[in-house]
Amino acid sequence: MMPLLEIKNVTKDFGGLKALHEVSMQVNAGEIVSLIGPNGAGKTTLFNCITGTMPPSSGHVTFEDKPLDNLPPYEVAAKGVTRTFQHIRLFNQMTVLDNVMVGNDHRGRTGIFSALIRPPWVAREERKTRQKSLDILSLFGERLLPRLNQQACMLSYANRRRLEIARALVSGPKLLLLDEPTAGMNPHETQGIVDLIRLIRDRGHSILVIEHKMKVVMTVSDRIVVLDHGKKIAEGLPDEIAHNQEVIDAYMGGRRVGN
Amino acid sequence: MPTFIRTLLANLPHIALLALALILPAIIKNQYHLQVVIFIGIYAILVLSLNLLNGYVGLLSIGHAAFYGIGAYASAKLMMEAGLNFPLAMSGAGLISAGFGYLLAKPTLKLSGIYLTLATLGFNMILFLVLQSWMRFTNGPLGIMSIPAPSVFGWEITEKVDYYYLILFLVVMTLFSMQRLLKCRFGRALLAIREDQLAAEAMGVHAARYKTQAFVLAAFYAGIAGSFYAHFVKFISPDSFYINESFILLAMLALGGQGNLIGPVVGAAILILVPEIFRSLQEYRMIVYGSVLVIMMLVRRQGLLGGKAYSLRLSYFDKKKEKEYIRGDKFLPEEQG
Amino acid sequence: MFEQLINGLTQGSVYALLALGFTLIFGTLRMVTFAHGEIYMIGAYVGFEMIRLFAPSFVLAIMAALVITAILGVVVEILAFHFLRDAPHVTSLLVTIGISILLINLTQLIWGPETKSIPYALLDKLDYGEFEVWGVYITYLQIAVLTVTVLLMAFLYLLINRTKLGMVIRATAQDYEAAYAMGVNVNVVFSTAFAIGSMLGGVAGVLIGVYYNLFYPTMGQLYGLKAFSASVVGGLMSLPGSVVAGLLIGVVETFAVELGASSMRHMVSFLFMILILLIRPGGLFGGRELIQARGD
Repeated sequence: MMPLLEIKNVTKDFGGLKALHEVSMQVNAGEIVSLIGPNGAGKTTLFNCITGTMPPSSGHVTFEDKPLDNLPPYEVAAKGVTRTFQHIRLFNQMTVLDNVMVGNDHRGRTGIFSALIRPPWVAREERKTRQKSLDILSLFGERLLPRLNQQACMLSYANRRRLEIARALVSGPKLLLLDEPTAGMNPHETQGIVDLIRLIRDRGHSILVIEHKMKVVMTVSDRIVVLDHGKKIAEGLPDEIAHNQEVIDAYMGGRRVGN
Repeated sequence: MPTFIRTLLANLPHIALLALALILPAIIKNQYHLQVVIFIGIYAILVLSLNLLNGYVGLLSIGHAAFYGIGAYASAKLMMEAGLNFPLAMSGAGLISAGFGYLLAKPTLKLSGIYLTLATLGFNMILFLVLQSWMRFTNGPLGIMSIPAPSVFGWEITEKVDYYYLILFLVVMTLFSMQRLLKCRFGRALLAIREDQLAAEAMGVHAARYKTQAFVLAAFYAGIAGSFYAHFVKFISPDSFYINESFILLAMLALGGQGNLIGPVVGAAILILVPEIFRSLQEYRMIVYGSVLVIMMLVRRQGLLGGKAYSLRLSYFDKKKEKEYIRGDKFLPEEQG
Repeated sequence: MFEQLINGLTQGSVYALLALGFTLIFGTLRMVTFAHGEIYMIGAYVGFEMIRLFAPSFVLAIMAALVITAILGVVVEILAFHFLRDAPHVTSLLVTIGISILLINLTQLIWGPETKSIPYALLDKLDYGEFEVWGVYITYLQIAVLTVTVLLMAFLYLLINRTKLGMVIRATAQDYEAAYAMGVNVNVVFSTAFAIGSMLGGVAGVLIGVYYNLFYPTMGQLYGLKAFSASVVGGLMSLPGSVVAGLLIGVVETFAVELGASSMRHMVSFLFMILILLIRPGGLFGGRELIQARGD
């Protein structure tokens, strides 16, 4: 089976500093893969290379057998790869609903002229987008739905993280990249995200997630990739990684991984 | 209560305002006063179009008077030399202005932040200098005189009252079309780009295309305003489209507040009215504009009506509204831990 | 030919002085000021009044202009930058536009909108003679303008590169937060940089005012915008770049007039600017992008 996302020998230079060095990995359809590693290991840089935010210096990223490198971010999104950000980047002055609806932008057809003339299909499209957004928001139970018309900047921290996920999810991406989705959340909220990640997978999206909380990583992942100083040092099932001596030494400073 | 009456009631303020605008000439008998109101209309369109860039997409254009000027000259030329009738000349002026908007936007939009602003400044200056020195086409600093009065499908526009209704129509059309554009995919994308372009692009928003479209639209509206100005004043010269004019538009936008459709109109109205009402201020007009810019930016950066998304939606036009999800927000435990 | 070159260099050196001010201010504060042309204009008027009221002395005029424009610069800095440190970029820019409008119109109130000139009786005492080199007439005034400009540039170069103040300014320009953490009083540095930039503008005003002997309230507008283009052409952050660009624009303008394209004269700088923005946004000598895409 062809992997959904294939990363081959990706290197990213920042003027001599190698943030990523010959990293290769795959994500298969229907998989939850975790990307872990100490701070500065190059995890977010890898996300940026995949989504076109920062093209890699060398190497290739292919998605469903088609190259993703050198595509601008909006085309990567249109191909079915969306992401969330480590430091939340919502459209703060827009309402919760509008934030999510923007996520569906590249699926829309309404242009300037159709917006002016408003043929019936424009209203239909608008309704559909709205309904889709509401459906996605309902995945979060009563967290976001009651706050539809609030500005995004008024939301609590955890809700902003949830909203980012909703925004990335609404266009129905084949692959969702989550950058520390549980950062700053308490155990209860974290558990909610863990359940959500599983739910999203069951709805047919593959997931690549950067995560620091070992408990989350060990419970949610099908496979784990470990980066350190821009290099991939290990890859395998959660159990293998938990007992991998190199990972324990390099990443955990000798402490045992896992519960 | 039947929905028809309910929507009617909901739209009462809009309808009342429109009705007031329609009977205004009956109230204002003084021709000069009416002229002032007409100028408010022209500036309302201009500031609204500037708002599309500065308020919605977050591009700072400081050379917007260039498009105003292009519209004015194009319309005068189209009518006087190409022999087009007024509606065609006005649409042509809008399109030509939009074309220039495209030519400016296409290469410069890849520039980031301040560089784009500088390009609009350079464009405004170059346009002014071209208007001033291209004697054969623009008649240089002397300008173009005796521009013909417009007539729309047999309606001869000669009196101030006629001009008033024409500009009222244009302002209403501007508001109506902008409202339609902004309350759908297009408007959402513009706001998203303003809020966070990087995130918007990661979500699949083609920022460069939307920005170009916004630029072209803004130039179009400004061109229409320019066309009206040319046929209303009947005399145009480069001085009316100097960089100072752009600065005045910025002051109006700063006062009224950007990012919604009411602020620009209010800003334009106040800054036209204040020097007129306080006759003694007439001489210090520019001082008023300068002070407004400085004080508003220091004291209330978002402008009088900024920072809020006022809706001009005529709910009569979209009856099939979805049920709002409001489910007793306050009863929910806040982020239980 | 040679005469035109001298004329162009005289003109260009004034653009360069103004552009240096822009560049210094932008480089340190990352802020575009549109009031610079008006500070230049105020400098010119101060020089005019000094010569008219006190003595026909270049030195006195320049000294007075230095003091007044430095104070004005600090006022502009406080209004447009100090209070708006956390505001978006745009806000400061709009404030400076407002200040520019205010200064022009206040000047108009005080001195009237008409063009003023220094009476010739006084002007003669300024040693307005000329001498001949290789069959070309050069006025002492041109020599004075060029000399003052070169001296100021040398002074600025030494100040920035050889003194402790210069070091502090450079550090603040690179990363003001880091400089602040190192104990630099960045507020003072910002004000100082703005004051120095404004003083350069003020001197340019005196020089050009006396050179053409024309003083009017909007004299700074076109000059300011042109010098600003010069700064952009030079790379916005590069002091040598803005000097070269200023001189270049001055010379090209003069030759444009000589070649019969006098209507193109004022357009030169703006065309240069747009061209540079399109093909080489980093400026003549390349530079770094000022506003980078914020990576996550």
